[in-house]
Amino acid sequence: MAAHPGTSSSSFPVTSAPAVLAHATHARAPRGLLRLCVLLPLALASLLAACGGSSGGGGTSSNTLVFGAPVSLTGSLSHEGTDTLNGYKLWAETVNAKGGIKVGNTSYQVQIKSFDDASNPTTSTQLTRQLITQDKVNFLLGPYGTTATLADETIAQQYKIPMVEGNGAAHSIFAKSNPYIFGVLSPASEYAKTMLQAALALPTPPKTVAIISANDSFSVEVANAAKAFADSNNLKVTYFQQYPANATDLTTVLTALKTSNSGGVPDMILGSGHENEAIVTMKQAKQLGINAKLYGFTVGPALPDFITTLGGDSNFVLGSSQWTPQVKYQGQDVFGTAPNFEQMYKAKYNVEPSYQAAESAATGLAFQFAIEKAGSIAPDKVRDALANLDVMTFYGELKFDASGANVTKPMATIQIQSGQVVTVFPSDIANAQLKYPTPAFGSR
Amino acid sequence: MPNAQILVNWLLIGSFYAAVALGFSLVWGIMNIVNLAHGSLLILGAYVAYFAFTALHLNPFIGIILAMLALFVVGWLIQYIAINRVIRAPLLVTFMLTFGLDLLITNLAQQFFTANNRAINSSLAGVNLTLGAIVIPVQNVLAALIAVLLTAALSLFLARTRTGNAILAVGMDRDAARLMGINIARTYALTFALGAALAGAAGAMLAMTLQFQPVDAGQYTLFAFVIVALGGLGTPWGALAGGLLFGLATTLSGSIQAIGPGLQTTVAFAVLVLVLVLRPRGVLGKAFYS
Amino acid sequence: MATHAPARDPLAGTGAAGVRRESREWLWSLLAGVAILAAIALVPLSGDDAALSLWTLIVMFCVLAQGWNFIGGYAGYAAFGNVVFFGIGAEAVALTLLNGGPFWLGLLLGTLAAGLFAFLLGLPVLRLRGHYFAIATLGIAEALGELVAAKAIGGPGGEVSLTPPDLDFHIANTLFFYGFLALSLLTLLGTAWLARSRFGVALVAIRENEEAAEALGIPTFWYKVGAFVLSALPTALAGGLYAYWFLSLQPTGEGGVFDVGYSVSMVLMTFLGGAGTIVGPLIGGIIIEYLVQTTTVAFGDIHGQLLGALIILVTIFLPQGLIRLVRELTVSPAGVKLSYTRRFTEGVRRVQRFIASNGI
Repeated sequence: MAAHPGTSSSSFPVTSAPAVLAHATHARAPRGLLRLCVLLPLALASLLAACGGSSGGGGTSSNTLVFGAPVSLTGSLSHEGTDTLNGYKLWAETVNAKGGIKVGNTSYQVQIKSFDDASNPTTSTQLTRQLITQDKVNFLLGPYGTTATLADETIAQQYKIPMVEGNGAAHSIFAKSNPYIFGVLSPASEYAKTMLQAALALPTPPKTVAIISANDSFSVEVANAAKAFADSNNLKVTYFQQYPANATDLTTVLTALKTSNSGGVPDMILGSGHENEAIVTMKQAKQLGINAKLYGFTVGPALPDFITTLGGDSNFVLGSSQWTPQVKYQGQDVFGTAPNFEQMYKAKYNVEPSYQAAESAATGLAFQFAIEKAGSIAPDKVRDALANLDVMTFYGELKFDASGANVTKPMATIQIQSGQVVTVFPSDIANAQLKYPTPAFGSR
Repeated sequence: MPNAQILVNWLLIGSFYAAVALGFSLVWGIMNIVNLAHGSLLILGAYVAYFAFTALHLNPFIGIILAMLALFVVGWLIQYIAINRVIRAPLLVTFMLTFGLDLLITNLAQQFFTANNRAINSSLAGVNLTLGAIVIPVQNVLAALIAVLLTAALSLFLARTRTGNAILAVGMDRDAARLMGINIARTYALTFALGAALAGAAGAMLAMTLQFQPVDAGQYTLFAFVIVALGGLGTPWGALAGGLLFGLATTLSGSIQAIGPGLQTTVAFAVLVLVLVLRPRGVLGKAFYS
Repeated sequence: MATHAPARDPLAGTGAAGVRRESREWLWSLLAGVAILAAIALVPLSGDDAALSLWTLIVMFCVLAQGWNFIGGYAGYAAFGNVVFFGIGAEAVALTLLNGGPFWLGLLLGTLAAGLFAFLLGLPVLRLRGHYFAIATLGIAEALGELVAAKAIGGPGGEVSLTPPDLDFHIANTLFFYGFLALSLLTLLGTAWLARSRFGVALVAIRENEEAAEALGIPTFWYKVGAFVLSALPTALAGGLYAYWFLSLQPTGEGGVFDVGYSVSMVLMTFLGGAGTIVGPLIGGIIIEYLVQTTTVAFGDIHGQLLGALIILVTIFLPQGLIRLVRELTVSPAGVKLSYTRRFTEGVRRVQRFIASNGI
């Protein structure tokens, strides 16, 4: 035992376990190990059997369709992962209440088989394999996040089971020419664009913008797209910086932003990262007295706890959203309209639905329409139907391009006004005017 | 005046880091335990302060006291029930035990309090002193002062009180201390409880100045570990030195254009390894905790 | 603990004479390990793909634990950054494949790089002791992971997506499984060799009392560096295999190739099975990873709490690891021949005393 210097005088001879035991036994006749040799393989075999036998539960009974979903209920993605599962479950419940999915004369009840992947992509793939081969799920719903989706889609392709996902927007997911992956959400490049468009549509639009982003691939992709869009639209990017994902302190970034070469605080601060970083950005902007005319974050403002965490300081903040309760689509689906989805979601979970919940429910809808259209539950037929799908839902149009991405549905810009989320862009679905400029901290 | 602002940022975040590491330093110094559950205790403290503010409408600085009291009790129980049972075991045993505690506490916190982000927004949060281009947030300054006060108080308590001396004696020589009539089990429980209370105070400051959720626990444990190794174990002031040094490494490297914020964690860890290689006991480290 | 060295000579129990006396134990351990791996080798016969990938993961973690055992178990140095070798191995394969190179070249480069890195890193950090060594190695792993992310090595954010091998995926997955299994077997053989060699004896001496070992003229520093390099090699190979098996890599965060969670698993597994034993890490790895994966499935979102509680109980009530527990309960003291019941009751008493001696 190497004692550390701080207590090297600790006088009790802390003999280590090996020493005590070696002394006690002197290891003369290790017959125990002989028995070990015999017993362990036996134990192992029984473990194996248990492992193989534990599958029984899932199985496809004649009138149930099982949808497998590895989601993050613990770990760093648990917040969004829980919303994902809530969306899946609400869809299943609603479909079942309305008579299930109809294929010819048979109607199938929907069952969601989900496991917690602890926000770990390795676990997520293990669970996906298990869902496919042991639980014999019919179809796959996506996990939360880019990395897990990237890993799981490969498995879906290997077993030729279509996977519809609503929580991975990175370009790389759809760049693998994998015919079995479909994403209902708008791709990463759209996240910042909608907010910049909303800002540029103002009578006196902001002239300068600082773009800060976490250094994971999704956030970087969004930030790069934002910079390209700003550059080509006469919006001067005065500061462009990445910081480590999940950073707890952003004072250096914000100080540099404030004193960046082109002089002082920019008109707009655009953050591409995660909710916790968006919250830290706002708290520390306040501490550093940074008063921009407009703040926008790709992830954060659309989540209900952004407002509860920041209180009044969350007002006037823009967010990009895949969906808002104000969108005006007249869907052919079981939810029909966004307000109806909002009401059902609130009735079940007692919170406002986040867009993560809505897009997750939409993945189920895509399957439902594709299965009914295919008139079959055969994975390949459903895949083909998905590829040719074009339906309107409460969430927007579900239509996939050749890579499986949904490029038809627009994104929306939300703003927090008086502690409420309102939609401010595009104008055809907006239920409020964008309030601009943002007053100084303390008078919001 | 960017450099003066960087200086202010550094002192404020450095003092907060010192608060994060103070309890960790005490537990490590006296009991030779690297408490991997430190971050989760800190997060528990943040929840106490958060609920004191949101549910009881108490001033966040009273929340610090409540968090310390609550975590003192939690720490005492943890030491008495679990850690005292393996206190003489090799280093890795306590490593694993506190890791298990961390896993348990973090997951329970998530189960009961959800993974939502939380923060305290008091009326003080927007009050800033402005000196030319330099902005000084008053609430952060108060938190930093409390961090320094806690360091001084711990130092005085250890040096000047009977109980404090007993803790030091146990840290220096457990069995000699026992022969002197000191109840080892109780002294250890007191030490860990103090360490937990200090973690609770840091958690309350975290809730005030930044934001938190259960999974952040691991990051603060890591910070505490790095800071104490940087500053050295010898005295509570080592935690302050380490906190300031860690804050300096992150703030400065993030502010230098050639390095930038993307690499500030890398630089902080590189500094740690460098300090350890050059001065294996940290900047202020001594042989004993005294 | 220099001033209160254990009364006995550090090499007395484990020295040349000791090795001869314990000669049969290493053999039985090795046979047990081989038997376990042989049993696992039958998994692909079940035709169950989920079981195959589960056991691929389990065997991978066994290799990591076996690798950690060299530095952590034998030399007794609490390396908390061994994941860095895993990450180096994985990144080497990823970068080689992205640049059109063959897989074996990536494996080779990764192993060489990790070995060299361990050597160069060991020179300064192996002068540190205890917790200081732990945090220094942990810091290196964290720093390297952040560096890969910040410098966007392999892709934005250091995230890599590889093209699968040009094989039927069943065959590829089976090959990866046997790859990990072969690696585990090799590491097992290496451990058995180490346990009997002068090298291994020196490491144990370092663990038990480094000053005394030094005083006996053992070049402790170079033995430690050797153990560190030895532990890096299988870890890097496992990282390389993992990269091509798993295909999607991220540097940091849960499940990232520099995630400290891997280091924690290595320690936990070795510890449960028995640190510094030949077959302990293998058994610990199987039990822990199997439990982790199955509780995830069986207990939904409370598996974290369960695992935490389990670790607490194991560390309090099984601080010496399974292998030594079995040995305690089945072996007679030197020179005495006891019935198995006697051995068991005596053993239980000894274990109880041992557990009690850990507390106050």
